[in-house]
Amino acid sequence: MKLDLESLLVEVDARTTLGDIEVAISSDGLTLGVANLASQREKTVATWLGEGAPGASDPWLDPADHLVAGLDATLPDGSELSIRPAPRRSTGPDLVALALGTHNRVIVISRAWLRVHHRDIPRPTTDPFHMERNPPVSADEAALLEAIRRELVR
Amino acid sequence: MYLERSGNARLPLYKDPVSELSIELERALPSLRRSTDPADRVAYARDLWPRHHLAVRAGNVAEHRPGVIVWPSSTEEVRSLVQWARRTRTPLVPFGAGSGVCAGILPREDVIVVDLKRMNRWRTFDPNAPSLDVEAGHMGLPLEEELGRRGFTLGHFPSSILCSTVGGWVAARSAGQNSGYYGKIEDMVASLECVTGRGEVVRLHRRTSGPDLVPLVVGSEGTLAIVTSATLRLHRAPESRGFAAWSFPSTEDGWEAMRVLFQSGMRPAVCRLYDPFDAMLARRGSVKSHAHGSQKKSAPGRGAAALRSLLRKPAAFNALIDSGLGTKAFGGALLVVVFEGSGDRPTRDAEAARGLVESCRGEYLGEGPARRWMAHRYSISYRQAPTIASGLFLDTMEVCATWSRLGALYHGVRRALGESVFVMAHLSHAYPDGCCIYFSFAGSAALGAKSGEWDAACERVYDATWQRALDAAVAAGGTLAHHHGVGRSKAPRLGRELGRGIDVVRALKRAFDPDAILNPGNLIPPIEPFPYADDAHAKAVHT
Repeated sequence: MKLDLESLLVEVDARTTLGDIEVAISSDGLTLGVANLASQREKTVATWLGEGAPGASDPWLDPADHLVAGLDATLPDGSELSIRPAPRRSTGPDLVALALGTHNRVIVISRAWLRVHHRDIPRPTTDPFHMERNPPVSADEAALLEAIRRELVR
Repeated sequence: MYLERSGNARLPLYKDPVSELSIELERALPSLRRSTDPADRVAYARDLWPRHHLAVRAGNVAEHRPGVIVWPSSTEEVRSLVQWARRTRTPLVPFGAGSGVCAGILPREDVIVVDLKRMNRWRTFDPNAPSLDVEAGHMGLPLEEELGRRGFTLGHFPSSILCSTVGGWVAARSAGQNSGYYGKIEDMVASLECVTGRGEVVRLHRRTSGPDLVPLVVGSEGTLAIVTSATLRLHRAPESRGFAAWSFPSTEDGWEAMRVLFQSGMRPAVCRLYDPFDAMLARRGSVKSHAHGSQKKSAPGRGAAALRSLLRKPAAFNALIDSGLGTKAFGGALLVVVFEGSGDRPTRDAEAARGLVESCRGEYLGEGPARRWMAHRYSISYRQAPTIASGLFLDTMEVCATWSRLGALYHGVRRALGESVFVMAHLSHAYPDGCCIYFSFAGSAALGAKSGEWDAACERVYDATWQRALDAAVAAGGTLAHHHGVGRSKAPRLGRELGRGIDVVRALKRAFDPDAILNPGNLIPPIEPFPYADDAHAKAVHT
């Protein structure tokens, strides 16, 4: 586990549990900012991100921030994908999306750069946004996900 | 007539692509508006990639004319077109307003350009969410103006807002000047309707807990699907603004202040730091006075000749500017911030920012510079033509990194660029974990170039400059692009940043567009000689 205090990022092996990360960074006055951490302390980062990071701050409330700055993952053929940490990029599709909420069925997360927050600084929020945060996955979307998975295996 | 090839590369063989494409299209889709008019084909032959400007200056006005331009007016028309194109293996290039700067548009005669600007309707406006589902061809400024009349804003103000569309923003992962509060376009899209290369209409929804396919199409630069509409998150239009500006002894001091601001939970909508030379231009408002008929001639003259001469030795010029002498002469780096909100909150935010910034060696300059920036925010982008006409070239490069790597990125890219061009920079999109650096540069042909080969000599310097700078960005741990995209100009270098990620992007391409009919040759470097990329890559930045 490496803490980049200048960028407020923690680089972790994806097998690390949320509880272990929280303990490690707390001495620097930092937190992952997960709302229901007590019930997820034993989850690994890979599992938590694969589930869609339940309890993480709502990204619609602070558009300038984000949860995952970069990650390493294993592709279905066993090779390694590395997405270097950056706050934003414009270099094609955002491949981090293949990991979040896909239960490690598309790519398997092995390392992640996560945003950490000062405990004593309130998180900024913009206006409220009243839209369904997690609408059901449509048949079209499921078919595309399956096509992507198939092409990655090929 | 079709030539059977192995794999999925079954290509149409047209003796006269322009007329034959048009005839086939008329037969298959008679109601689709289209043109083969020579003037239209010239107009759609390129985007605003600055290297094209050199070609135009050399007299090559439109080397890459498409065969046909079509203007669909509905998602159904786009779907029918893609299905027809898939059957006939005809390449399609989606087109917004053509303001891209990375050669995302580089057609040829057997290509159809799909201009989406007739698809500009508001579909669903929900003031309670608030959100707007708007068609992809809607132009930027009219959208923001109409939202403003209703008391809302998207909060997206790219410098291209006068000449860009919603679909173009989505395609390139665009950023606007107010990204500090509203985010980039990917932070605004709640859902997308698009037609994939399979010819299927799909609606993709953003999900905070995934799975989420929206981020795969955003930034795909027309290679996976044609975006037909986007549901965008809106905000109440700001009632008030708070302005502030500071000068700094160095650019590094200035970005430390930006980091402190964003990590302290402050979210100025605008937060822009100019290096000393760029700050000098910003203080002048970036606009020369044209009052009373005093507009100076921009055509090549003594001034232009002197500048050309100076820019043939850019390293010495850059060293002078970067020295303490230059910094002192130009008045140091300049940070301008604008907070937005309601009541006196923005003013209070600006006041609160003072304490933080001034602890980082910032000297408060009052509101003036930030207000002046606001008044002239779009001026600089439309003043490039005279400089290019005078024999120089201009371009910009927007890279990004975490704060801990920002110094290496700034100095590495600046050094790489500075070997062959005059360079200045500003930092205009800050986040809690990092920042974008926007380099602007001007160059000329190398010493020894004769006037008869001036444009070709400029192109050589231009290409070498980009190669060095992109390599430096990757070596420093940065990204190749923050909001301009990749296009064909950076595609050959993309693998150096993404590594195996290139293969993942190729897999996405096969999943969304199995016959590779959507903007082939763009974004993804070809594995093998590729039918529509040959002439493009002859003009691209080579590896």
